[in-house]
Order: sequence, then structure tokens, then C-alpha cells
Amino acid sequence: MALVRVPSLHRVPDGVEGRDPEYIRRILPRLWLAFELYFRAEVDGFEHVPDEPVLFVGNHSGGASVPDTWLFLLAYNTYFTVEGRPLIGLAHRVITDTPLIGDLARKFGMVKAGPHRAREVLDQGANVLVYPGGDVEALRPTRDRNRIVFDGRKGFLKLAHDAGVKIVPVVATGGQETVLVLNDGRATAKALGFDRFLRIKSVPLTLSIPWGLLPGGLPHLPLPAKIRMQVLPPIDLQERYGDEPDWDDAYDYVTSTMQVALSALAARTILPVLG
Amino acid sequence: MATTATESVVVRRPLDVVAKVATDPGVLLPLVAGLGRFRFIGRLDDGTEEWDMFLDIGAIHVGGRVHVVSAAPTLTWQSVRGTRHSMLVEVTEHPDGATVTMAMTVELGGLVLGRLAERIARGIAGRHLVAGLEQLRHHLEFGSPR
Repeated sequence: MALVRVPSLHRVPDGVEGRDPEYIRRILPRLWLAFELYFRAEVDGFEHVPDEPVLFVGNHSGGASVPDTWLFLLAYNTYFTVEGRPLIGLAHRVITDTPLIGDLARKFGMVKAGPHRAREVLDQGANVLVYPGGDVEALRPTRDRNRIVFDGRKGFLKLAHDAGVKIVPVVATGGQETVLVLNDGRATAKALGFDRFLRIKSVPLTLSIPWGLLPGGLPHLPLPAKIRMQVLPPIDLQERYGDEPDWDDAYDYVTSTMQVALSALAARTILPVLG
Repeated sequence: MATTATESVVVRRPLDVVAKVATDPGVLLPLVAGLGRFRFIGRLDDGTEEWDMFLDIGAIHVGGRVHVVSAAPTLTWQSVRGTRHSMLVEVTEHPDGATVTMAMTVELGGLVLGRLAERIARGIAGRHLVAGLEQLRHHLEFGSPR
């Protein structure tokens, strides 16, 4: 008996080849209006980015709606143009495996996060955007909204070092003011087994529109918080730490550098949400 | 009326090393006021110093001339001109090194609106203190502020 082949729900390839510059060009004006009018977004520092493949490392915010990711994609694709060096973001499988949304994300330059994907993309000459803190950071408690929470994850350091590319840190404030996160949900995720079965490491109590009080984070209507984003000068791990880095030292240095910049950016806030 | 913002950071360096830097106005004030402006005015006969220090907050400049008294492991300053405020910087022991605590007290005029302004000012001052403390920590742990 022949097996029935179920057609893939995804029609857009998962990789640099799936990125569609014309699609991005069509979407940019809508994104620009949304971020300019709704989030009053400011992005600075792209002049620090060298003309070579780099690993952008950002702090992740905003629960499942991750407005900072979309803002960075918007700003990058307008600063360097859609025809410039492609920017590929690594996304959680919850995004890339979702029918329709996954295809749209791939056309915008997102690929499913995996151990070797970022390296493959860097080797193809693209820039890569990663959020080491992942869902743990995007769902960190509101009280920690201006803290870097990478949860001890150092894979991004090894990736940049092995690939011989510089790390370009990107920090942003405001994203975590678009949703209210009441607690740290790591213990809940572990108790429910979400960390093993879904690779979801955090299930906190959140308060968002339209869900109200909810365990975990579903895509929500973000509050119109002012978002500020700063691209920092590159960090060359090879130059700073040589061929055999102490990964703990490197981790401390990168996260400390980002924390300094994030706190300085946060100091520009007059009132949370309003900006 | 007055309101106080207090923030702390742990620095993974020995207490004496941290205290020496954190209570040196020549190092600390540029770090704390890194988001504004600062200027050394002069040293007084009793060894204390005067500085102009302003934080740029939106459309206004909060600060003025301050009288700085440094006696490790503490440093204090009191405004003598401009926004009425005072600051206490204190370095204490911590199992991982030292804790630096900053407390800024701001006095604003007015009743209801004055109290509202003070409440907002406390949040702003707190975020500036955190930014200054993080710069100080990074400076001590990694050698240079970014």
C-alpha cells in the first residue's frame, strides 16, 4: 500500500533563498507607519555596522508579539536597502511552523532556529540576527524590562567565534512595556514539561489585550509603548579573546556591554509606555 | 516635599578598589552624568569640591552646582544652585565583591502637581542612577566604560 504524501504546508523555502526582497519592499511602508505612529520608534547606530557578515545580537522583548524584531527588520532593510546584504533572523519554531505566518516570516528573512542554520547563512554572506535570551527574555517580568536576560546561553558566542564574524549588539527599550508580565515563568514551563516538548522555557502570567490575564504569551495587541533601539559598535571575539576564549568571560563582557547601553537607553525614558 | 530614588549594583571587585573609584568625584560624576553634562568648578580650602552637574531629561536640565564631600567608602553631594537635590554614594561589602548604592533625593516645589512631578522624577532619577551604576560596574570590571 502506497503511503499518502501530505503536502507541506509551507511553500516558501527556509533559508536565504526564501527571503523575498520585493515582498519586503511592499511591506516596509506599512511597517514604517505602524512603528512611526504607534510606537514612535527611534533607531540609531547603523553606522557602526561593518561591510561584512556580522552576527547581530539583540535583547528580546514584547512577549509573543516581539515588536523589537519587526522594528529591527524595518530599520535594517531601509538603512541598507532590501537589495543590500540580506538580514536573516533566527525564529522559534512556534513562528516558523505556523501555517501562513511561517511563510510570511520566511519571506521577510526569518528561518527556523537550529544548531547549524546560522552558520550556513553567515557562510552564504548574509547577516544574522539572534536573540540568545529567546522566550525567557521576551517573557521576562516587567520589573526586569531594562535587564539583559540571556539565561546563561553562550551558543551565539561560539557561533560568532567559529564563523570568524563580529558580534554587533543591539539593545532596545520599550518592547517589554507593550505587555505586562507578572512573574518569571521558568518553573511553570518546567513543571508542565513545555521546556522538553515544545522548547518553550517560560510560561509566566501575562496581562495583555485582548487576552487579559493569561498563563504564557499569545500574540497580543501591544500597548503603544515608545521603542528606542541602539546598534552598538562591533565586538571582535577573535581579537579580544584569541583562538581559545574563556566563554564565561566573553559572555560576561558582551552582556555587560549590552547592559550598560540598555540602561543608558532606559534613562532616556520619562514615563514607561509614554516614552 | 522630597522624594528619594535608591539603586544598587554589585561589582565583582574588592571593596577598597571599588570604594576608591566610586568615591572619586573625578571618575564618578562623568559616569553618573554621562547622559548630561558636568564641569569641575574648583577645590575648596577644606578639601571638598564644587562641580556643575546636570542630567538632560527631555526638555529640561535637572541639576546645578553641587558641593561634593568625599570620604571613602562614601561620597555625598548637596546642591548649592539649581534643582535642590542631594546624593549619597556608599560602598559596602558583598560576598562577590562590593555593593555600590546610590540614593538621590530631589525636592520640587508645589503641592499636588509638585508631588506628581516628584513621583515622576523619582522614576527618572532611578533610571539615571541605574545607568550610572552600570557604567561604573563595567568600568571597574572590564577596564573602560563603553
